[in-house]
Amino acid sequence: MLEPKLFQDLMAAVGAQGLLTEPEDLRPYECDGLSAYRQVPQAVVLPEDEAQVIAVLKVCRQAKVPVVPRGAGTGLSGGALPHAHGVVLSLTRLTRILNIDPQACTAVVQPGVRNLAISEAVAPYGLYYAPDPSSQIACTIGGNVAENSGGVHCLKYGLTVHNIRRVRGVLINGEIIEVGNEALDAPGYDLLAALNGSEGLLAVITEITVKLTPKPQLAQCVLAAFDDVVKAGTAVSNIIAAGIIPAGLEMMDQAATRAVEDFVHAGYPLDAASILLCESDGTPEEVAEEIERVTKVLEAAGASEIRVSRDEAERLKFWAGRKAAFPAVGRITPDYYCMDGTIPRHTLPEVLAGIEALSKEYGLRCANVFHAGDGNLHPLIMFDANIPGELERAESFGGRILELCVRMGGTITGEHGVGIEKINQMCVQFSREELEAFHALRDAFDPYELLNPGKAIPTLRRCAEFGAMHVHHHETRFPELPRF
Amino acid sequence: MQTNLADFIKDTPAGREAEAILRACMHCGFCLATCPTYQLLGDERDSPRGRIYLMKQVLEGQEVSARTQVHLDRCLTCRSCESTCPSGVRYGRLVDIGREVVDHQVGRSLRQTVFRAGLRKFLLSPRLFGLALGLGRLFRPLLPESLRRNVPPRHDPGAWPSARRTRRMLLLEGCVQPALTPSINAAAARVLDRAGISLEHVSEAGCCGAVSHHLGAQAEALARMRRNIDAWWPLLEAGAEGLVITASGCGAMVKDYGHLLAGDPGYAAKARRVADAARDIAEVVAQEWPRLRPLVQGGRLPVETLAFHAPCTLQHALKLKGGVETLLADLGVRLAPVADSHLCCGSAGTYAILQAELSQRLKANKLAALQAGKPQIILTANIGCLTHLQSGTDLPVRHWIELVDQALG
Amino acid sequence: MRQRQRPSPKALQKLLARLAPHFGERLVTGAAVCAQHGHGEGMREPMPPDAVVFPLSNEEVALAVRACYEEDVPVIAFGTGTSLEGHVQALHGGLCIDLMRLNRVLEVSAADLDCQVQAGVTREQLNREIRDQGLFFPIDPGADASLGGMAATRASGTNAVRYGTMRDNVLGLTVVTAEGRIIHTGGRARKSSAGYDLTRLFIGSEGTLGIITELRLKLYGMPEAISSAVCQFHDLAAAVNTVIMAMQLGIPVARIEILDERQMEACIRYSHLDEFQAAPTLFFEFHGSKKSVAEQAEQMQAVSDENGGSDYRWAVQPEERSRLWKARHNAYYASMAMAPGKEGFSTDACVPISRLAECLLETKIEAAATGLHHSIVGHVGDGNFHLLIAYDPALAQERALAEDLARAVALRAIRLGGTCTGEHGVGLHKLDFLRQEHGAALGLMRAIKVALDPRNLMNPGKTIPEALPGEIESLHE
Repeated sequence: MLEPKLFQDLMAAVGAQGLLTEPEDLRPYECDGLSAYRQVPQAVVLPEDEAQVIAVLKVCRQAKVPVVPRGAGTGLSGGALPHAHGVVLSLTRLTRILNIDPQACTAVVQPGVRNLAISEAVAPYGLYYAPDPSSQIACTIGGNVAENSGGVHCLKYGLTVHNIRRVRGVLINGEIIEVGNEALDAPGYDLLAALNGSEGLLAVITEITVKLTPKPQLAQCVLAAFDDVVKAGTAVSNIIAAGIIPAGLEMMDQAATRAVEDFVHAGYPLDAASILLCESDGTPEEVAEEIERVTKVLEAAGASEIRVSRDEAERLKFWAGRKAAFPAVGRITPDYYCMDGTIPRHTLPEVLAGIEALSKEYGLRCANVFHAGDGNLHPLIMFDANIPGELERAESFGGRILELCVRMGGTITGEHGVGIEKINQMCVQFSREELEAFHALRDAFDPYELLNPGKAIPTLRRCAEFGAMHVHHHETRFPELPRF
Repeated sequence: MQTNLADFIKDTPAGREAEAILRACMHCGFCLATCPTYQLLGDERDSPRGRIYLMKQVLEGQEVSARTQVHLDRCLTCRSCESTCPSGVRYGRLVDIGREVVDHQVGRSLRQTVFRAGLRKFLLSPRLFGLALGLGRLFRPLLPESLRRNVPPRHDPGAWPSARRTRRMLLLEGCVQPALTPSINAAAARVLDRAGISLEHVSEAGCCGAVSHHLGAQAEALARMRRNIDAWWPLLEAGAEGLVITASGCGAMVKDYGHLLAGDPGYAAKARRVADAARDIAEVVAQEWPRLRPLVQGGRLPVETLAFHAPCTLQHALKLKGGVETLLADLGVRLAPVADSHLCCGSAGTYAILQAELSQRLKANKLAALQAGKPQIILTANIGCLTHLQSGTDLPVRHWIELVDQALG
Repeated sequence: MRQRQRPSPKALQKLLARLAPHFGERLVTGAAVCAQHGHGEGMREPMPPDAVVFPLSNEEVALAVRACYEEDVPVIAFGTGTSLEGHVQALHGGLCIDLMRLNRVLEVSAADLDCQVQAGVTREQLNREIRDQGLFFPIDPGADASLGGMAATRASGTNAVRYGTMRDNVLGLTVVTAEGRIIHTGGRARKSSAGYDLTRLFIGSEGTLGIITELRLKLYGMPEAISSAVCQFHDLAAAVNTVIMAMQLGIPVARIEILDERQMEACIRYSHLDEFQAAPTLFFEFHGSKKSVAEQAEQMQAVSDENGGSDYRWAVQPEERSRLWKARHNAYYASMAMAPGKEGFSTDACVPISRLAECLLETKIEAAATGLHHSIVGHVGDGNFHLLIAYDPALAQERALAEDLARAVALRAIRLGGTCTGEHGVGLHKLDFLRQEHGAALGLMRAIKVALDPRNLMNPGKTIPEALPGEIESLHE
């Protein structure tokens, strides 16, 4: 139940239209795209503009109430999971595109604008916004900045951090900050990079200046089928080793391909153990040349079938399946658990083999979809939450995959963020000093620790407890911290 | 998603169907991108995903109040979400089940009940409706602006062709269409006549049942459906090639007959037969196009540029996206591009009356998108959309079959 | 931020006593060596540290920093000493840590297109070592700087327009923190959203948050074909317009440099570029396959034709290309050669490209009005340019005029939505402008500095200006 004073203050900040407090109204907000983790908040606020955002933050800071910012709720790491004593701050009513500057190739947008909507709005100028997470149809740009989202084309065009010029946000005390610069660089500390990927812990973003990219004259996609997953992984390594940086280089295994074909009807080869999608963009001659080189590499690696998209419609169709892959898996399983590890490219075949072995060990199917070009894996562990114990097994399976990634020299999250989901694995990836540095940075922005607490960066205590469950070579981590 | 249905519904056919649909939902949120009410309101509860979640709560035994009912009422049932969903969630079916359960648990206020009953009565009585419309037309200049805009002028329907062809198809006349715009069915009959098909009135059949169904009067809806099946089925058995429907909203309803009457042993098979035989006029014309196209005489087209509004029921329920546009383009007319063409115009049957504010906002957005390309006329494929859009613009809004009829001369 | 003072002689003694047994001859207090380590380039009075140490490993760096932390002595990192804004001046004395003996390329992976290097490796050294694998590291700020220094100043360069700056090309770092602990940021993975972006926090921090000892860098395949071209214009606006149009078309040009007519004249004389005229000029470089280079050049030519540009002079052979780019790199010296006996410096502003023409033209008019010798050269593809100004060191008036002009350039850039420093960093000399540019964000930066270096030992007095009396120290008071 919301305290009367808090209720009054929030009502004053956003009005009746923007405040939800009844459990019946709050439940649809109890989770994001990671529906296995649910928590009903005390309240949900839906501000209409930045002024209301500021008002809400001031109220919450005063009342010492945690605030969890939320965009479209498509995140896969539980970043928008509410806090039991906190308020969910939804940015989905800040949906205006404020300015488009085709000469400078930038656009200023509010955080609730959908990723794809930006590209749609600037299309008449021959421009687009390059980072394209698979959920781009629905996810918001504010969420993209908070998670430093990637996507199919980030191989060539970079992550969100490479495609943002300026961010305007509000700190927990209601103060506005503007970081970054319209020009190429900003002096002093790179606060813009600090905010990218900060998962809602440092500031609430209210305005973003995105960098726009000129649309390539031509884009074509090569679809290659392989009868063996390891061969496909090797082909990926070989393409990069040949010095080619394609616009996109993605892989799907048979389980994933079959599921998406049902939805998209793109004519994917259903017997292939694995298919690769490799895109080239640029001038027609550049594209022709690159496709020729790529085709040679694919043939040498043993592709059983190679197709090149004949027109824009077909190219989009090839990609539609890949982009819908996660939810399309919903056709063959009641629940899935999507992982997001990144590894050095050349270890891809080894890691894939490792995942296959784990799948047998746990007795759970696993479909694989990935941004093969940058070694970012998305194993989709399939399970049925209605069967007792399966969720836990799926999570355990997932944790082992991430640990495998870290052992190979990679990271536990390429682009989905840590959220609540991988917070334990953070203890595996980072040392104590590194975690302390993270906490120090966070405290500079939010010393009250009210913005999205309990997410992204584990406390040292948590690591100590987690470490106790995974004693490694008879060494306990952080031996000086007391344990329960 | 993980589900745990409550005892009261777990083992019923509706419960099992609902559970299967809920389990298909991955809570991914793609559907938010194409939901017209979410675009306007920015609130998870007014998105398909949110509504699915609300219905899940009810079906899992959580107590529910008018708070949930409001959001289900606000759903247009446009099913745009179904087109977007990669997991194949059959939202349309779920919302039918969910609404029934919620309405049963929550009930409605007396005012609401009376109003809805009155609405059904009014729309489903050809005499009442016709009388009101007639009066409205008579006193049109005296009506207040808002009412006047909703009373379309009467267009001369032209002659109905004599029933001379061997090939026959049945026509669903509908509840309000004959009174509002008799020109549509007359045009359809003439076009099909040129293709060698005679379109037959079937006076025993009446409203397709959509009005009753969507206003929660299930028994009434089923009764109407049975009445229609009793009228059509024998004629189909006797050789009528199909059941032609010129309002995509009705077409969507009839296509569901098999499903809705699946539990009625006396009607299940016939209902499926009727549903299979039902075809939107676009499908029939497309099929007969090789015969019709050569008959189009040059210079007969009254417009150069038009904008086509594809009704939700045509795109998402009947899944006939793009067909009409192809035919029109083949006639040589220029189609103005329409932004966000997947979004509902806000008519949605009785929605325009029951959710007036949202409906008006959607109408304004839709008209802006349609008129951006400076068309001379707006064409559509559903009576609801037609009258709704016409009420907001001075441009003529017609059924596309009327243009084809003119082109054929 | 804690106010800094020179360390007491006692503290220094203790420090030296702790370090001497370990470093031996590699710990130096002699005046000459210290003086050498007390300045970069950019002609300011040297401020020497109290001692210089030459570590050989990450652990040795950590050891030295830890000792300084415990004895409360400032620490200044030093690479090649080629920084331009007083970055290495030891304002409060202290220990200078010279990274140049950490000079090994540790690992190169052609398959993953990355490498691991120690901070003292210079960019030319790296490129020499990886050339035969067909790889290169593109960031080229002009000087043969150390990679650690380049990361610390977020160096850019002539081909930032295509390859980005250090910000985009560092995958991970090994850093010694203010307390003398070793941490690793980023990693081998191409992308990561785990934790905050500490890599980019340290990049550009100019030694004020920690000392970079190792870097994981992104590498590129050497382009199959490289060709350079020069095109001249009737006026500066036409040249800038050409660039804007090229950017909008998405032509992936690797370098575009602009020289105004005064700079061009200087280069013609100094580097004997006799085939050219003293007119506003663009230097281009195209990278790619033979076909794509030809295609890019064709497209660029069409754009410059539209703006009244001259025919292109081509340089395809490496020696010819070298000659052109050397002339461009020597712009500063060429310009100074036109004003013998004078001293000079260059400003470093960066504006959104849509405002560049306006900025350049206003700057030219203002510069001309001072009567001082000046010229303009710039990485125009990213809106970054340098105004070179010469003044007579004997005339205090001229020096003041020069400094005022530089200040006006910086303020104008900020006003037009840009920044007062495109690539030289803040160091000591641009502290004031940071105030202008950042407003409230400055409080945040101070908070970060305090959080990571509570004793204010890491290169104190640089990068983030201390709060003036009356200014809010940090945001959360």
